[in-house]
Amino acid sequence: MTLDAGRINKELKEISKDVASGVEVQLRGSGLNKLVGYVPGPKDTPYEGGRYEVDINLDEQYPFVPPKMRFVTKVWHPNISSANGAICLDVLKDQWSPALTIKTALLSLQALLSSPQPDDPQDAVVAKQYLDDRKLFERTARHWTEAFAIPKNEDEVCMRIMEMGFSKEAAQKALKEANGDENIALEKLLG
Amino acid sequence: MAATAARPVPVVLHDDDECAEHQENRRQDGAGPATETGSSRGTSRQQQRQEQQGPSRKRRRGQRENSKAVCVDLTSLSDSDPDEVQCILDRRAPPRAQRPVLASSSQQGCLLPQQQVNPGKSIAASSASALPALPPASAEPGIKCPVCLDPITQMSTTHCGHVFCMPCIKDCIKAQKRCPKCRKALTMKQVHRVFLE
Repeated sequence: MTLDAGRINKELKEISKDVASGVEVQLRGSGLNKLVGYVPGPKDTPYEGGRYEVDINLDEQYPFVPPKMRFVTKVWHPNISSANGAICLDVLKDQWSPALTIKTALLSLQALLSSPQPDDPQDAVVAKQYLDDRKLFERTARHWTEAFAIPKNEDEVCMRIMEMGFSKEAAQKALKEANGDENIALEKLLG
Repeated sequence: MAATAARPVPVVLHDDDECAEHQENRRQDGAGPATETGSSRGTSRQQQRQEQQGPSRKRRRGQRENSKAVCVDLTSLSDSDPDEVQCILDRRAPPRAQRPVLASSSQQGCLLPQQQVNPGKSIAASSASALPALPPASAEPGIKCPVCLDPITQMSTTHCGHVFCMPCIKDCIKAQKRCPKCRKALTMKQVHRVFLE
């Protein structure tokens, strides 16, 4: 069986038409089997404001087998590996159905962000924290969102560092060395 | 009653407006003894009826609400009148008092076959125009298969009632042995073709 290009193209067209859902899908390369999806963090969760990149790989048997999905953006969530972004979600495994689509799968990921299932964890450490100390979990998840998922405007970050009393050159240099990470750059400047 | 009961009643309508009209016409034709059938929301007819209704109205209304489903018999037309249609009240219809259009007065609404006199209304005229158009049979190209997302080819259905292309549902069953829409267990024996024409 070869990749069902007709169905994938139709799915991509349908996703690009639907701006209301908030999810996006783009081709990663020239082939139709490697895609990249973007899921907005759901409102009223620690993930709000984040834009989560999801790596999507389609098997040749798609849609009769589920798409392989993995978070590229780091997420602090009981059902998502904090190390490699692997996702524990039934519809991406045995509960997949050929009548589901990439869009519905991405929306399921968004729903998973809203309602963690700590009883069926992917990341045991996160799940334990979620169950033992919910406040700490939410703080950590929020910190990860702000550090990794919220798109940053470089100039804004630079301005914030300058407001703390550093020169523009120093701020830019520190940011460059920290790969754009505001916290690491600040640590460097302060340390 | 015997005359109407003997007829097959193949079509069930959810709205009894038209039925009432036909029933009236039927009554007017003098077909059979009174059956507890039909109803109407037409205000002009209601008013007419209000004037005509006698003291037995209440009792009969109670009987009517327990009566049969609204059915229009489109197949067994009488010899004398090809447009005659049988109508029996729909059991699923809410009680008359709950219908907003009739709620304003306690006097209106009950259609009593014996008391209905609808002078001058021709059966042919009403039955042709008043019959509700049944939803047209959906054309095959209009429906998309949830698996290939294309218009359905070789339309097929499952025992759970979901519709797919025959090749698509075959592949699904090969992969998962369940319905892609509702996840019910499924084998190819439970899938069959649908022919719309």
